[in-house]
Amino acid sequence: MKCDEVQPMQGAYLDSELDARTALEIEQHLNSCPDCSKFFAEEERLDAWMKAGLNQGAKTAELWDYAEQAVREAAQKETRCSPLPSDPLVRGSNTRMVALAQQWRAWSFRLSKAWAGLAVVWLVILFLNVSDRQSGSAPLAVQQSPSTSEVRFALKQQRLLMADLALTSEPAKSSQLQTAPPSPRSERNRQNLNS
Amino acid sequence: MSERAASDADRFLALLKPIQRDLEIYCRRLIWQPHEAPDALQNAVLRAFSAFDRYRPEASFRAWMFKILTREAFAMNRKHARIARHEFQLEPEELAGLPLAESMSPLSGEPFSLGVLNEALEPALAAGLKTLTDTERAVLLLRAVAELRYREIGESLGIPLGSVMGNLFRARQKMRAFIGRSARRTNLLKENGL
Repeated sequence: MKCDEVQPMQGAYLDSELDARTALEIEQHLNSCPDCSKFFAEEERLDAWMKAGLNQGAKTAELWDYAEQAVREAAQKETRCSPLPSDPLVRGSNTRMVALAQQWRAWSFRLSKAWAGLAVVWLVILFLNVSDRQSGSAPLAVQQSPSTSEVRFALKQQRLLMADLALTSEPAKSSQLQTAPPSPRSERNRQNLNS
Repeated sequence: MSERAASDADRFLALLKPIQRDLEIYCRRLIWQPHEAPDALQNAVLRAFSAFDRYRPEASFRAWMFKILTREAFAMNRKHARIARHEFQLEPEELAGLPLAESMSPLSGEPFSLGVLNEALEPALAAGLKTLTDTERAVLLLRAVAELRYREIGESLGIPLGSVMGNLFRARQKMRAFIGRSARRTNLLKENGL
Protein backbone atom coordinates (compact mmCIF):
# COMPACT_ATOMS: atom_id res chain seq x y z
CA MET A 1 0.00 0.00 0.00
CA LYS A 2 1.07 3.56 -0.72
CA CYS A 3 1.01 6.54 1.65
CA ASP A 4 -1.91 8.23 -0.17
CA GLU A 5 -3.93 5.02 0.14
CA VAL A 6 -3.15 4.48 3.80
CA GLN A 7 -3.75 7.98 5.18
CA PRO A 8 -7.49 8.29 4.32
CA MET A 9 -8.08 5.04 6.19
CA GLN A 10 -6.48 6.34 9.37
CA GLY A 11 -9.83 6.93 11.15
CA ALA A 12 -11.30 3.54 10.32
CA TYR A 13 -8.00 1.86 11.25
CA LEU A 14 -7.89 3.54 14.66
CA ASP A 15 -11.58 2.72 15.21
CA SER A 16 -10.84 -0.97 14.44
CA GLU A 17 -13.47 -0.90 11.70
CA LEU A 18 -11.32 -2.33 8.89
CA ASP A 19 -11.22 -5.97 7.88
CA ALA A 20 -8.27 -7.99 9.18
CA ARG A 21 -6.42 -8.08 5.85
CA THR A 22 -6.55 -4.30 5.26
CA ALA A 23 -5.61 -3.61 8.88
CA LEU A 24 -2.57 -5.91 8.50
CA GLU A 25 -1.51 -4.19 5.28
CA ILE A 26 -1.72 -0.78 6.98
CA GLU A 27 0.23 -2.06 9.95
CA GLN A 28 2.97 -3.38 7.65
CA HIS A 29 3.08 -0.03 5.85
CA LEU A 30 3.35 1.87 9.14
CA ASN A 31 6.27 -0.33 10.19
CA SER A 32 8.13 0.56 7.03
CA CYS A 33 7.09 4.24 6.63
CA PRO A 34 8.22 6.66 9.38
CA ASP A 35 6.27 9.59 7.88
CA CYS A 36 2.95 7.73 7.94
CA SER A 37 3.74 6.29 11.33
CA LYS A 38 4.32 9.81 12.70
CA PHE A 39 1.16 11.10 10.98
CA PHE A 40 -0.93 8.30 12.46
CA ALA A 41 0.49 8.86 15.98
CA GLU A 42 -0.25 12.60 15.83
CA GLU A 43 -3.74 12.09 14.49
CA GLU A 44 -4.45 9.48 17.14
CA ARG A 45 -3.44 11.88 19.92
CA LEU A 46 -5.49 14.67 18.40
CA ASP A 47 -8.52 12.38 18.02
CA ALA A 48 -8.19 11.20 21.62
CA TRP A 49 -8.05 14.78 22.79
CA MET A 50 -11.00 15.79 20.62
CA LYS A 51 -13.00 12.84 21.90
CA ALA A 52 -12.23 13.74 25.49
CA GLY A 53 -13.18 17.35 24.76
CA LEU A 54 -16.49 16.38 23.16
CA ASN A 55 -17.29 14.16 26.13
CA GLN A 56 -16.84 16.93 28.67
CA GLY A 57 -19.88 17.61 30.80
CA ALA A 58 -22.14 16.14 33.42
CA LYS A 59 -25.75 15.13 33.37
CA THR A 60 -28.37 17.49 34.79
CA ALA A 61 -30.02 15.65 37.66
CA GLU A 62 -33.20 17.75 37.60
CA LEU A 63 -33.71 17.12 33.91
CA TRP A 64 -33.52 13.34 34.31
CA ASP A 65 -35.67 13.34 37.44
CA TYR A 66 -38.29 15.16 35.45
CA ALA A 67 -37.93 12.72 32.54
CA GLU A 68 -38.32 9.76 34.92
CA GLN A 69 -41.45 11.30 36.40
CA ALA A 70 -42.85 11.88 32.89
CA VAL A 71 -42.24 8.21 31.99
CA ARG A 72 -44.05 7.03 35.13
CA GLU A 73 -46.96 9.35 34.41
CA ALA A 74 -47.13 8.07 30.83
CA ALA A 75 -47.22 4.48 32.13
CA GLN A 76 -50.01 5.41 34.55
CA LYS A 77 -51.99 7.12 31.78
CA GLU A 78 -51.61 4.07 29.57
CA THR A 79 -53.04 1.86 32.33
CA ARG A 80 -56.01 4.18 32.78
CA CYS A 81 -56.73 4.14 29.05
CA SER A 82 -56.75 0.36 28.72
CA PRO A 83 -59.79 -1.31 30.37
CA LEU A 84 -58.49 -4.84 29.90
CA PRO A 85 -54.67 -4.92 30.12
CA SER A 86 -54.62 -8.69 29.66
CA ASP A 87 -56.28 -8.39 26.25
CA PRO A 88 -53.59 -8.76 23.55
CA LEU A 89 -55.34 -6.15 21.41
CA VAL A 90 -54.86 -3.44 23.98
CA ARG A 91 -51.71 -4.76 25.67
CA GLY A 92 -49.39 -2.49 23.67
CA SER A 93 -48.69 1.05 24.68
CA ASN A 94 -50.12 2.39 21.45
CA THR A 95 -52.81 4.72 22.69
CA ARG A 96 -54.55 4.84 19.30
CA MET A 97 -55.07 1.08 19.38
CA VAL A 98 -56.32 1.29 22.93
CA ALA A 99 -58.86 3.96 21.97
CA LEU A 100 -60.05 1.92 18.97
CA ALA A 101 -60.47 -1.19 21.13
CA GLN A 102 -62.48 0.82 23.64
CA GLN A 103 -64.76 2.21 20.92
CA TRP A 104 -65.36 -1.27 19.51
CA ARG A 105 -66.25 -2.68 22.90
CA ALA A 106 -68.68 0.15 23.67
CA TRP A 107 -70.35 -0.14 20.26
CA SER A 108 -70.71 -3.92 20.39
CA PHE A 109 -72.13 -3.71 23.93
CA ARG A 110 -74.75 -1.12 22.89
CA LEU A 111 -75.96 -3.36 20.03
CA SER A 112 -76.01 -6.61 22.02
CA LYS A 113 -79.84 -6.92 21.86
CA ALA A 114 -79.83 -6.44 18.10
CA TRP A 115 -77.15 -9.16 17.73
CA ALA A 116 -79.27 -11.52 19.90
CA GLY A 117 -82.44 -10.86 17.81
CA LEU A 118 -80.53 -11.52 14.58
CA ALA A 119 -79.22 -14.80 15.96
CA VAL A 120 -82.75 -15.93 16.91
CA VAL A 121 -84.03 -15.16 13.39
CA TRP A 122 -81.23 -17.24 11.88
CA LEU A 123 -81.99 -20.13 14.22
CA VAL A 124 -85.70 -20.09 13.24
CA ILE A 125 -84.82 -20.11 9.52
CA LEU A 126 -82.43 -23.02 10.04
CA PHE A 127 -85.03 -25.01 12.03
CA LEU A 128 -87.74 -24.49 9.38
CA ASN A 129 -85.40 -25.60 6.63
CA VAL A 130 -84.44 -28.82 8.43
CA SER A 131 -88.04 -29.73 9.40
CA ASP A 132 -89.23 -29.16 5.81
CA ARG A 133 -86.67 -31.67 4.52
CA GLN A 134 -87.80 -34.31 7.01
CA SER A 135 -91.60 -33.92 6.25
CA GLY A 136 -91.79 -36.57 3.37
CA SER A 137 -91.15 -34.69 0.21
CA ALA A 138 -87.92 -36.56 -0.23
CA PRO A 139 -89.48 -40.11 -0.88
CA LEU A 140 -91.78 -38.53 -3.46
CA ALA A 141 -88.83 -37.17 -5.27
CA VAL A 142 -87.17 -40.58 -5.15
CA GLN A 143 -90.30 -42.19 -6.62
CA GLN A 144 -90.44 -39.71 -9.46
CA SER A 145 -86.96 -40.52 -10.56
CA PRO A 146 -86.32 -44.33 -10.52
CA SER A 147 -82.80 -45.58 -10.34
CA THR A 148 -80.93 -47.08 -13.31
CA SER A 149 -81.08 -50.64 -11.98
CA GLU A 150 -84.86 -50.41 -11.58
CA VAL A 151 -85.22 -49.20 -15.20
CA ARG A 152 -83.04 -52.07 -16.43
CA PHE A 153 -85.08 -54.60 -14.44
CA ALA A 154 -88.37 -53.28 -15.87
CA LEU A 155 -87.03 -53.37 -19.44
CA LYS A 156 -85.80 -56.94 -18.96
CA GLN A 157 -89.24 -58.01 -17.72
CA GLN A 158 -90.97 -56.38 -20.69
CA ARG A 159 -88.56 -58.17 -23.08
CA LEU A 160 -89.37 -61.56 -21.47
CA LEU A 161 -93.10 -60.87 -21.65
CA MET A 162 -92.86 -60.05 -25.35
CA ALA A 163 -90.90 -63.26 -25.95
CA ASP A 164 -93.62 -65.34 -24.15
CA LEU A 165 -96.33 -63.64 -26.20
CA ALA A 166 -94.49 -64.43 -29.43
CA LEU A 167 -94.15 -68.14 -28.49
CA THR A 168 -97.79 -68.58 -27.46
CA SER A 169 -99.29 -66.88 -30.60
CA GLU A 170 -97.74 -69.38 -33.23
CA PRO A 171 -97.82 -72.94 -31.67
CA ALA A 172 -99.24 -74.90 -34.77
CA LYS A 173 -96.78 -73.56 -37.27
CA SER A 174 -93.92 -74.48 -35.14
CA SER A 175 -95.16 -78.12 -34.61
CA GLN A 176 -95.79 -78.59 -38.36
CA LEU A 177 -92.32 -77.60 -39.16
CA GLN A 178 -90.97 -80.11 -36.69
CA THR A 179 -93.09 -83.14 -37.96
CA ALA A 180 -92.68 -82.62 -41.74
CA PRO A 181 -89.32 -81.34 -42.71
CA PRO A 182 -88.95 -80.38 -46.40
CA SER A 183 -87.61 -83.19 -48.61
CA PRO A 184 -84.49 -82.60 -50.71
CA ARG A 185 -84.90 -81.81 -54.42
CA SER A 186 -83.37 -85.15 -55.66
CA GLU A 187 -85.89 -87.15 -53.64
CA ARG A 188 -88.77 -85.06 -54.97
CA ASN A 189 -87.57 -85.56 -58.50
CA ARG A 190 -87.36 -89.38 -57.99
CA GLN A 191 -90.85 -89.39 -56.56
CA ASN A 192 -92.06 -87.47 -59.61
CA LEU A 193 -90.39 -89.97 -61.93
CA ASN A 194 -91.84 -92.93 -60.07
CA SER A 195 -95.29 -91.44 -60.20
CA MET B 1 -50.74 1.74 37.84
CA SER B 2 -50.97 -1.87 36.66
CA GLU B 3 -48.14 -4.28 37.46
CA ARG B 4 -47.19 -4.68 33.84
CA ALA B 5 -47.00 -0.97 33.06
CA ALA B 6 -44.98 -0.37 36.23
CA SER B 7 -42.59 -3.17 35.31
CA ASP B 8 -42.18 -1.75 31.76
CA ALA B 9 -41.42 1.69 33.16
CA ASP B 10 -38.91 0.24 35.64
CA ARG B 11 -37.19 -1.81 32.95
CA PHE B 12 -37.04 1.17 30.57
CA LEU B 13 -35.63 3.51 33.23
CA ALA B 14 -33.08 0.92 34.32
CA LEU B 15 -31.77 0.67 30.75
CA LEU B 16 -31.82 4.45 30.37
CA LYS B 17 -29.92 5.33 33.55
CA PRO B 18 -26.39 4.29 32.47
CA ILE B 19 -26.57 6.31 29.24
CA GLN B 20 -28.25 9.46 30.56
CA ARG B 21 -25.05 11.49 30.65
CA ASP B 22 -23.95 10.45 27.14
CA LEU B 23 -27.41 11.22 25.77
CA GLU B 24 -27.40 14.67 27.31
CA ILE B 25 -23.90 15.53 26.08
CA TYR B 26 -24.72 14.23 22.61
CA CYS B 27 -27.95 16.22 22.49
CA ARG B 28 -26.33 19.45 23.65
CA ARG B 29 -23.60 19.07 20.99
CA LEU B 30 -25.98 18.13 18.20
CA ILE B 31 -28.75 20.64 18.66
CA TRP B 32 -28.42 24.14 17.23
CA GLN B 33 -30.31 25.92 19.99
CA PRO B 34 -28.78 24.93 23.37
CA HIS B 35 -31.91 25.97 25.32
CA GLU B 36 -33.91 23.38 23.35
CA ALA B 37 -31.78 20.43 24.48
CA PRO B 38 -33.95 19.61 27.56
CA ASP B 39 -37.10 19.58 25.40
CA ALA B 40 -35.46 17.37 22.79
CA LEU B 41 -34.31 14.93 25.49
CA GLN B 42 -37.69 14.88 27.16
CA ASN B 43 -39.48 14.25 23.84
CA ALA B 44 -37.03 11.53 22.85
CA VAL B 45 -37.39 9.73 26.20
CA LEU B 46 -41.20 9.76 26.02
CA ARG B 47 -41.17 8.72 22.39
CA ALA B 48 -38.83 5.85 23.19
CA PHE B 49 -40.99 4.72 26.11
CA SER B 50 -44.14 4.76 23.98
CA ALA B 51 -42.34 2.53 21.44
CA PHE B 52 -40.69 0.37 24.09
CA ASP B 53 -42.99 -2.61 23.36
CA ARG B 54 -41.46 -2.71 19.87
CA TYR B 55 -37.88 -2.68 21.19
CA ARG B 56 -36.19 -6.06 20.74
CA PRO B 57 -34.06 -7.02 23.75
CA GLU B 58 -31.36 -8.57 21.53
CA ALA B 59 -30.73 -5.13 19.92
CA SER B 60 -28.51 -2.49 21.52
CA PHE B 61 -30.65 -0.21 23.70
CA ARG B 62 -27.91 2.40 23.50
CA ALA B 63 -27.98 2.50 19.69
CA TRP B 64 -31.81 2.45 19.66
CA MET B 65 -32.01 5.37 22.09
CA PHE B 66 -29.41 7.45 20.24
CA LYS B 67 -31.30 6.87 17.00
CA ILE B 68 -34.52 8.27 18.49
CA LEU B 69 -32.71 11.24 20.01
CA THR B 70 -30.94 12.01 16.71
CA ARG B 71 -34.30 12.18 14.91
CA GLU B 72 -35.70 14.45 17.59
CA ALA B 73 -32.68 16.77 17.45
CA PHE B 74 -32.75 16.88 13.64
CA ALA B 75 -36.46 17.76 13.73
CA MET B 76 -35.74 20.65 16.09
CA ASN B 77 -32.77 21.78 14.00
CA ARG B 78 -34.96 21.88 10.90
CA LYS B 79 -37.21 24.34 12.67
CA HIS B 80 -34.25 26.67 13.02
CA ALA B 81 -32.74 26.05 9.59
CA ARG B 82 -32.36 29.75 8.94
CA ILE B 83 -30.41 30.31 12.13
CA ALA B 84 -28.39 27.18 11.44
CA ARG B 85 -27.39 28.45 8.01
CA HIS B 86 -26.33 31.71 9.57
CA GLU B 87 -24.20 29.91 12.17
CA PHE B 88 -22.70 27.65 9.53
CA GLN B 89 -21.20 30.70 7.88
CA LEU B 90 -18.95 31.31 10.89
CA GLU B 91 -15.42 31.62 9.51
CA PRO B 92 -12.32 30.34 11.33
CA GLU B 93 -10.98 33.89 11.40
CA GLU B 94 -13.89 34.81 13.62
CA LEU B 95 -12.27 32.74 16.35
CA ALA B 96 -10.24 35.79 17.27
CA GLY B 97 -13.38 37.10 18.88
CA LEU B 98 -13.76 34.04 21.09
CA PRO B 99 -12.61 34.17 24.72
CA LEU B 100 -10.01 31.47 24.01
CA ALA B 101 -7.03 33.76 23.46
CA GLU B 102 -7.66 35.74 26.62
CA SER B 103 -8.16 32.67 28.76
CA MET B 104 -5.00 31.07 27.44
CA SER B 105 -2.54 33.88 27.87
CA PRO B 106 -1.94 33.58 31.62
CA LEU B 107 -1.31 29.83 31.25
CA SER B 108 1.15 30.01 28.38
CA GLY B 109 4.38 28.19 29.03
CA GLU B 110 2.94 25.88 31.68
CA PRO B 111 2.09 22.21 31.17
CA PHE B 112 -1.69 21.71 31.15
CA SER B 113 -3.78 18.85 32.38
CA LEU B 114 -6.26 17.37 29.89
CA GLY B 115 -9.10 18.92 31.87
CA VAL B 116 -7.66 22.42 31.66
CA LEU B 117 -6.89 21.86 27.99
CA ASN B 118 -10.46 20.78 27.26
CA GLU B 119 -11.94 23.60 29.25
CA ALA B 120 -9.77 26.10 27.47
CA LEU B 121 -10.51 24.77 24.01
CA GLU B 122 -14.22 24.14 24.61
CA PRO B 123 -15.27 27.28 22.66
CA ALA B 124 -13.09 26.12 19.77
CA LEU B 125 -14.73 22.69 19.82
CA ALA B 126 -18.20 24.19 19.90
CA ALA B 127 -17.36 26.56 17.06
CA GLY B 128 -15.70 23.76 15.10
CA LEU B 129 -18.83 21.63 15.35
CA LYS B 130 -20.81 24.43 13.80
CA THR B 131 -18.71 24.22 10.64
CA LEU B 132 -19.95 20.66 10.05
CA THR B 133 -23.09 19.63 8.22
CA ASP B 134 -25.85 17.96 10.25
CA THR B 135 -24.86 14.47 9.06
CA GLU B 136 -21.13 15.03 9.60
CA ARG B 137 -21.78 16.31 13.11
CA ALA B 138 -24.11 13.44 13.97
CA VAL B 139 -21.66 10.84 12.63
CA LEU B 140 -18.75 12.40 14.54
CA LEU B 141 -20.72 12.62 17.80
CA LEU B 142 -22.25 9.15 17.47
CA ARG B 143 -18.70 7.82 17.21
CA ALA B 144 -16.98 10.05 19.77
CA VAL B 145 -19.74 10.37 22.40
CA ALA B 146 -22.10 7.44 21.85
CA GLU B 147 -19.19 5.15 20.83
CA LEU B 148 -21.36 3.35 18.29
CA ARG B 149 -19.88 1.08 15.64
CA TYR B 150 -19.97 2.30 12.04
CA ARG B 151 -22.77 -0.18 11.25
CA GLU B 152 -24.88 1.15 14.15
CA ILE B 153 -24.24 4.74 13.07
CA GLY B 154 -25.42 3.86 9.56
CA GLU B 155 -28.59 2.28 10.96
CA SER B 156 -29.25 5.25 13.24
CA LEU B 157 -28.99 7.77 10.44
CA GLY B 158 -30.31 5.56 7.64
CA ILE B 159 -27.17 5.91 5.51
CA PRO B 160 -24.84 3.24 4.02
CA LEU B 161 -21.55 2.24 5.62
CA GLY B 162 -19.52 4.03 2.93
CA SER B 163 -21.30 7.30 3.72
CA VAL B 164 -20.58 6.84 7.42
CA MET B 165 -16.86 6.49 6.70
CA GLY B 166 -16.88 9.41 4.27
CA ASN B 167 -18.75 11.73 6.61
CA LEU B 168 -16.59 10.77 9.57
CA PHE B 169 -13.40 11.33 7.60
CA ARG B 170 -14.53 14.79 6.46
CA ALA B 171 -15.79 15.73 9.93
CA ARG B 172 -12.48 14.79 11.56
CA GLN B 173 -10.48 16.63 8.91
CA LYS B 174 -12.55 19.80 9.39
CA MET B 175 -12.38 19.61 13.17
CA ARG B 176 -8.64 18.99 13.21
CA ALA B 177 -8.03 21.85 10.82
CA PHE B 178 -10.29 24.20 12.76
CA ILE B 179 -8.98 23.31 16.19
CA GLY B 180 -5.41 23.15 14.96
CA ARG B 181 -5.59 26.69 13.62
CA SER B 182 -7.18 28.12 16.72
CA ALA B 183 -4.95 26.24 19.15
CA ARG B 184 -1.70 26.95 17.35
CA ARG B 185 -2.38 30.64 17.70
CA THR B 186 -1.95 30.17 21.40
CA ASN B 187 0.82 27.50 21.16
CA LEU B 188 -1.47 25.29 23.20
CA LEU B 189 -1.14 22.09 21.21
CA LYS B 190 2.60 22.46 20.73
CA GLU B 191 3.16 22.78 24.46
CA ASN B 192 1.12 19.65 25.02
CA GLY B 193 2.96 17.59 22.46
CA LEU B 194 0.16 17.73 19.89
